[in-house]
Amino acid sequence: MFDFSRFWGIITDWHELIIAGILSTLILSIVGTVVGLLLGIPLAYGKRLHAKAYDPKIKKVLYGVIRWICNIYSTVLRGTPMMVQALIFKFATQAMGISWGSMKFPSEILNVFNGWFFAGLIVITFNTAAYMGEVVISGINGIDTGQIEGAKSLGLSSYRTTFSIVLPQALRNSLPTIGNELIINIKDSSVLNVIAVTELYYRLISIASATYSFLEAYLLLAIIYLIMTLLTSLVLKLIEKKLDGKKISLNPFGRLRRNFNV
Amino acid sequence: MSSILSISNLAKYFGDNKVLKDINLEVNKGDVIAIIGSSGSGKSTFLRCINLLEEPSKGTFFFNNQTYFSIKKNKEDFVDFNLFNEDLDVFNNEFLPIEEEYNLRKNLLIEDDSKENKLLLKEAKRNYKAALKRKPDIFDYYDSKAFKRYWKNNPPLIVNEKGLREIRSKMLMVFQSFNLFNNMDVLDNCVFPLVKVKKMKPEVAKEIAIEKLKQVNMLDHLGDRPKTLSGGQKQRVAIARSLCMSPDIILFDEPTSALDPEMVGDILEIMKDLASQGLTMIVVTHEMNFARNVANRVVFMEDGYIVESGESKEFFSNPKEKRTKEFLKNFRQ
Repeated sequence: MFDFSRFWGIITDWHELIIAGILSTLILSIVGTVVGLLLGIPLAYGKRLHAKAYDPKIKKVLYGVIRWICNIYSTVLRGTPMMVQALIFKFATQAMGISWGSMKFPSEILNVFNGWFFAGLIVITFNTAAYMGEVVISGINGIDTGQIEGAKSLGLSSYRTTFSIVLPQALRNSLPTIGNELIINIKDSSVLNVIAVTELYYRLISIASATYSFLEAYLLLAIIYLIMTLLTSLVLKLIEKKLDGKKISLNPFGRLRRNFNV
Repeated sequence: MSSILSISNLAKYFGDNKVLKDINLEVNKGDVIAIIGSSGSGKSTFLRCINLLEEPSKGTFFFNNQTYFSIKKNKEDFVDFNLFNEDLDVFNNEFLPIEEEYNLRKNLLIEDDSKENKLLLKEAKRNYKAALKRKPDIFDYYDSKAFKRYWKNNPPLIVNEKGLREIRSKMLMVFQSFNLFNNMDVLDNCVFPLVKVKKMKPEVAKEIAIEKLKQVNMLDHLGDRPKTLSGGQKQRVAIARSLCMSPDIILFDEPTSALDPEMVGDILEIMKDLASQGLTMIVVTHEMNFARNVANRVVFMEDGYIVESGESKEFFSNPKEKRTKEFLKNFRQ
């Protein structure tokens, strides 16, 4: 049965490992989401690439090939579990002669950074990029196309239009979906334990098997994940408010006071 | 008077749907040209073809001593129309009874929805869809070899990307749906194109933008986002944004169609001011009073052709074509 003293014992005795796990998970998911988003933008444009009727044939073929590659990438990466991708990545890179386990880093800060961590980071980034491609596409489709025409008619280049008008709005509109992706990544990075990435889940199962207090360890794990996702969604909401130009207040009674003039 | 924009033999096809057929127009400096006509007559497409927002099928465009688009013959000119029409007739003879049968079955089902009727309808629908697939497509009838040979010998002239941007920055467009940039405030909407297209310093651009916004009476809203503005205010900002670029010509695509009557008066007053300052304008409009009083030339379009064009006083007091008279009757009362 649940034993609170054991639960508390895990926190007091193993907190260094737990904090290392939390850091690892946060870095994995945040860097994975941000870099994935940056990769997702070219992916989205690759999937939308269409040559004009008057373009030379070689351009049409090139565009077609790029679009084809992007479509295959996003279909395959979204259609297979990340755990399987991680295992394939592990064994494929090992076959190529890269040994993640023996990589040495000058100072192992809090035991977070090691070879497997970077392998996991690569997997989660490329996996997220496939989803972000779809997010960015829907963001772009949601923009009123008249603005693009307006920019064209002013003589702005398509590069300018994309980076100053289309993307800022597309990313702003898809911020809730991007945040959702981040929260999913916080939870789903746990599957990376199959390639020995020492993130939160990996740390907790090792603690559990060392102390034989499984229920307590998993309960603690659930609580930590819940706190992380709750805090993330709170921060995302604040960012959205900030982007809309509204005042940010962390005081939960602030709204009450405003509404009732207390 | 020198002509700054000249358009000849403009045609625009969407497949076998001919939207514009042989349009010719000369625009002199200082001209205010009103293009009128019923909906679907190709007015807006015409305007959008001028700055190549819509790629014309053929035509020769000349602007500021430069030919920027020239296609003399396009795919459609190599279509064997005799053969196409013959096949279309054969298809129609075969198709019309099937379509009739399908419609009949659909109506029968409303009265009596027995199982038997449903099955008959299903079969009729299948026949109808199968027949529709056999409809001849115009591009199966074009002589691709002859077309390619022609384009090889007479390559189409389309100005390159950079040249097109330069032309567009001199030939501004004001849209029916305003098309302001939603992620920038009013001032930035005007400053941004100046800085990026004309490579001005932000301080200089800001001065120009404020001057033009003052001209359209929008100084109180410099920091507002377009979302918070009313339709008329948005259109005024759009006009100021175009004016900032010191254009040679402005194309107005139904600038007042999305506004209420009071705002329409507002915008028309601004346009009247611009006309009196000697700005060259082409205005697609349904405002007959504007066409009569402000424009010096009126072009009446119908079904992809220019039916009649002339001096505005002459045009309204003494229209020559029968169709023009019919059209104008609606506005006299």
